Amino acid sequence: MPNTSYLRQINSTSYADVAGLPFGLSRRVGESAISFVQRLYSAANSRRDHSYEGMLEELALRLGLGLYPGATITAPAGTTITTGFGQITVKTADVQNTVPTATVAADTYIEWRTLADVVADLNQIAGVNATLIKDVWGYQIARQKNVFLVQNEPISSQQQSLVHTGVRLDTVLFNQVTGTYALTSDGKLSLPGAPQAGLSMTYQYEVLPYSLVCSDIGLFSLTDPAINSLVRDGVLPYQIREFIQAIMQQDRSYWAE
Amino acid sequence: MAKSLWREQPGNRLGEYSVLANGSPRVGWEFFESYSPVVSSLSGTSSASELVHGTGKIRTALAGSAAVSSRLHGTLVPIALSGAGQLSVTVRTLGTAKPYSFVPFSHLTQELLNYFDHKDVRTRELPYTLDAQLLNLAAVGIDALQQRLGRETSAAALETCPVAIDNGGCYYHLDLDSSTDPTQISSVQGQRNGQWITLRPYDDTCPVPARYELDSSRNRIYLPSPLLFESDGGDVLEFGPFTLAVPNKLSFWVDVDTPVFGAEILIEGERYPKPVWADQQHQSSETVLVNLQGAAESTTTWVTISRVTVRGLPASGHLRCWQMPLQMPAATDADRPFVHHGFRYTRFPRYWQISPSENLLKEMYMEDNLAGLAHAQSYSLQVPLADVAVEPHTWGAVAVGGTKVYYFDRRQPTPSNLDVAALKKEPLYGLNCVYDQMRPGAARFVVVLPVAYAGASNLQRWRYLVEQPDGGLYALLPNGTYAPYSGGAGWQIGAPTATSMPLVQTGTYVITIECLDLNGNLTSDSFPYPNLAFSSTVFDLSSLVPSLVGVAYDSLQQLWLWTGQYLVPVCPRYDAYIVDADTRSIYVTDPFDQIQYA
Repeated sequence: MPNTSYLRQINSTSYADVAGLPFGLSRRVGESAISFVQRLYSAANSRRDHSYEGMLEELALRLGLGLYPGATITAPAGTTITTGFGQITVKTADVQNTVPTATVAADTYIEWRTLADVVADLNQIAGVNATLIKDVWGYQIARQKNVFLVQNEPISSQQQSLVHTGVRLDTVLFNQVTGTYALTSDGKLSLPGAPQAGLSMTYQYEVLPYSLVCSDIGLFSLTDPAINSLVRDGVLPYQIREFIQAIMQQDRSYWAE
Repeated sequence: MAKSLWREQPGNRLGEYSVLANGSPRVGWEFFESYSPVVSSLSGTSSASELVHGTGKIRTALAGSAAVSSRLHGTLVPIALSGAGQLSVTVRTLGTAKPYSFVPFSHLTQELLNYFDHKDVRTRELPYTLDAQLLNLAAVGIDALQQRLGRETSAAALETCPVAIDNGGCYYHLDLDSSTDPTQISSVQGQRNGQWITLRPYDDTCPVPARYELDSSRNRIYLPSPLLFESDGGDVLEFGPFTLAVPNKLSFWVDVDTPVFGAEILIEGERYPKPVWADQQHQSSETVLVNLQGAAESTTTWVTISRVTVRGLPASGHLRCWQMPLQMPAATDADRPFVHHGFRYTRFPRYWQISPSENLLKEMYMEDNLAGLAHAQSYSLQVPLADVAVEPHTWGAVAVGGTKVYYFDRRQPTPSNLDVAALKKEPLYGLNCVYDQMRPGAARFVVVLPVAYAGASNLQRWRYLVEQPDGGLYALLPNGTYAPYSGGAGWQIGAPTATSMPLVQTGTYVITIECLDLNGNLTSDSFPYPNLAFSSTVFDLSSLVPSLVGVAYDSLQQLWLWTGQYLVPVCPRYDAYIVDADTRSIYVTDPFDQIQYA
């Protein structure tokens, strides 16, 4: 009776693979159809463009990696939370607090902090309460902000609920003159009369409490202004220099020839 | 082994089986649909015993040995021992295991029969006539095509894409050695942890698991109640918010007694998967129309529900909503609509329902879509079941009870003795037999209905005969009782009357009406009526769960068992193989240390 111990894992062409074609995604060897379809669900709801979010989503989709909330931050209304390379800034009223997610050692080497340590520091800020969901390294904290811009939301009725709550009232702009209007931060808009055709509104809104997005991989831009915070004595951190060197090796256009 | 009844389970291997009857009146074998075993030899020692093959059509005296060769599908092979003594019988089954070599009775057969005119009562209304048997072969073929077509079209949307079939799209491949003829492979074994396991051919249309395991990719989830809300009707009803234990579609059950036009359920919430970025999170909505009684389901998979708004449900109506379809009034069998002979173009929704008081698993259909569930078929239970769920995109289904999981084929087995439906001469009266809905209970009753044919006016005498599944032959009296069979037993004068009789055995009853005309000529019509028992492959999960009260598939077609407190994620493992002769390959469904084949 023939006998073999050489078994090779292999995928069949399943219906999930067919469903993946419009998304431009293929199943990894050994990835079950159910896992793959879950990835496709994410693809269907992802931006997948060239924005930072889109690039990180695309990487996660193609490599089968995760994007997840690492911590939840509650803060007073009006608080702006911004993450950048190596730091999180929390601006409450006129006070800005910066919590580093990385430190630079004496040899300019970046040492990443854990999110648990970052959360502990966030909790030292007055009015801020952070809760750790999943501990990751600092480089895994995605670039993000809890304040978002809405451009030209159509206004079609005298009394209207905006799509978003948390509206920052000082950021509101209409494309037409509306007269005296009333707007609450939870997005309830009241106009003095029926809106003119084509009326739209641009505004910013904040999300609080805010879930800090983390990723299985780090993605950052070399033009991120926050990199300046890691410069010591005019010298870039060691890893940044290595990144730049690798990029320049790959792309000869950086070399003057 | 010494058993009073040995039952071939779909998962069992073919081989040699022995039983010993010691003072027991009957022993026997019952073969089920997964294989076509051939009884190649049968031997025993008893001076006064006989072999009854099928239901009494072949009788062979057992004088030392006897042999019979036939294909047996769902038939009981009883060995009757007359008087005292011992009977030792060995049945040797030969042949290669053939998945689905049996012919199921298709749900589409009645739809094909409905193309006959209403006046063709015998052809149109009797399910097992020769016409029906021929059409059933076509219907089974159409079933297979429809299943495949359904899978293909379902793949067009993520919400319905078949993902739990085809072993999840993952196999383990091995190349055959050059000396092996791939078409001759009949045995594949795999070694796991030092133990050799015989693998079965993998059948994707009804994949019978070899075992169930905890699914390590999912967690146990606390869920004390799957019911989100229930309410009587009203103009506008609002419910919510709800956070779902598992991202899932919402399941509804609507009870209405009048037609509803324009009733709708508006669901608002966050759909699956919830984006991790705050600016991408937004509310979605879906409207589910509920115009008929029975089950309804959202298309969207939801993570959270902010509000459910119900409009237009009449005050006399009642609505229930589940986040996981556990212990619903009945489980929808969407792939097998029910067709009634009285409604040519109408397909009624089919449901599976457990009736604890009757100890039956029942196939029901929504009669007129408003009149409540009516009986389509039923299966007697040996053990009580708590819940049943239909496996998506296959012919399988899963039931739970106690700590056990039962996997079964949803398709009705074809009754045996179909040859009795053949007519050589038109009888004075024909026969129709239907389940007696007026006499529900653990003992099912059948209504025997005489149908007058053209020569009915020449009737002189008539009688009903009943051949039980064990071969016992009786005369059926008009009051529904049996009389011992003899040439003169049970004859009646006057027009035949309908009667109702209890069915105490499982298997196929052959019910016959015999008519003598004025010239003394005998004509008859026989009806094979299956009184079915629940047949399944059983898995004891007592090491995983304390008890089970519910079972359901979520919107990703993942199986969940419910203990009443917790949702327990499990997944099937098949320990099966596929031979691809073209590429000289064997694909196995699970990892093994070694594989050997012959």
